[in-house]
Amino acid sequence: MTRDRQSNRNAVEARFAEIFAHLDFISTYARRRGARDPDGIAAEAMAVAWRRLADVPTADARPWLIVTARNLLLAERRSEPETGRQPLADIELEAPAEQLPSELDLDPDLARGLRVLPERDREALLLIAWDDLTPALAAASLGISPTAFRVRLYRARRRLSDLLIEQASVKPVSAHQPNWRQT
Amino acid sequence: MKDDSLMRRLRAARPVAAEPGNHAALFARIVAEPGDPRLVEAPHERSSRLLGRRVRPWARAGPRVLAGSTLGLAGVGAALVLALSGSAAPPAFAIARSGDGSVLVNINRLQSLPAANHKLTAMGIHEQITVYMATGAAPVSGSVTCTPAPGASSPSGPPVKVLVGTDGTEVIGSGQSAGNTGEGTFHLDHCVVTGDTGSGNTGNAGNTGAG
Repeated sequence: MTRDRQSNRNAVEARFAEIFAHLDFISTYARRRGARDPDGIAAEAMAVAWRRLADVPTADARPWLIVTARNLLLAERRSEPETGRQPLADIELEAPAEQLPSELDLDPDLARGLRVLPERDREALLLIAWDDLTPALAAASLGISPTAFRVRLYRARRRLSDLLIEQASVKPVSAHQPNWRQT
Repeated sequence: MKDDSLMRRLRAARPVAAEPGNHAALFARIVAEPGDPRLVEAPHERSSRLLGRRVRPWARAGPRVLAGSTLGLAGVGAALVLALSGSAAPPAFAIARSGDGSVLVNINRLQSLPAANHKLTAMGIHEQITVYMATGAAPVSGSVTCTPAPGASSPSGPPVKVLVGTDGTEVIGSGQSAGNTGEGTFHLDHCVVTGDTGSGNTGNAGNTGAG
């Protein structure tokens, strides 16, 4: 290997190392979105990033990695849980709605509200609240403009807020209040 | 409920983050080329194992590398047969020139790859392909464009695309896995093209990823 090639190789690896530093971030993202194997998805996303290094934005790789992880999540969901195999005829062309992992220990009201929320609204909220992305980065990871993202985020907040208020106003009838229902 | 309090409530409910770890072995596994001393430290199996965590059930086997050379085939065995639907068995491979000047190599039986490479040469296309298979169905169906290995000189021939099976996914059923990495569903992850006498081991343009 010539010195020039080695030097180039080192530069490429250094560039990839910056991306690879987001491994735990992507693993966390995948876990919070209900991946069966978030670490595997994060590792796979990094392998894809290495192969497609030229496609990964230099400014901040996280949106690109999130899109890749989301694709891998969908592929994971399409696969059969037990064997990893799925008959081709059963593969859905439309991606299933993203679901919250049931094992996450969430406030029940909040969990219910998030589940009812349309997937695109929920993702907008979670990219900000759970993944700490800026609106610009969150917009990039959803493939929309920052302005469109702000509108989506605003609506998502309002919808979730309405859902939570609605839930709070309809309490289940308890044994001590057999005929009472708060409205 | 005000927006600020809603976001505070959401943040408070945020599931814990992954614990930071030392992922040097995984890094080496991804970037190292054959012969790299870092690979001695890293097991041959893929990423999840390197992380010290369980292997994904749908990706328990590492990417399989298939090349036209004897060396490339040695790692995967000789008996790779696609389980394709339909009563008439398709040809093992087919090569066609597209209107845009590219060459499409359709592989129906992976063991025919050496013959496909031989055919490319016979057609005056001095390019050899190496395919990398990964477990799971192809996220995106269709052909994959082969790319030159980093550091290798670009072949002067036309762009080469590879399609495995009819849609990019290969299913190896029970009794069809003798000598290779096992039964399951595989897809063409990426492929590399080199000149007739060249060699390469990494590539690009897989059918998984962003964009």
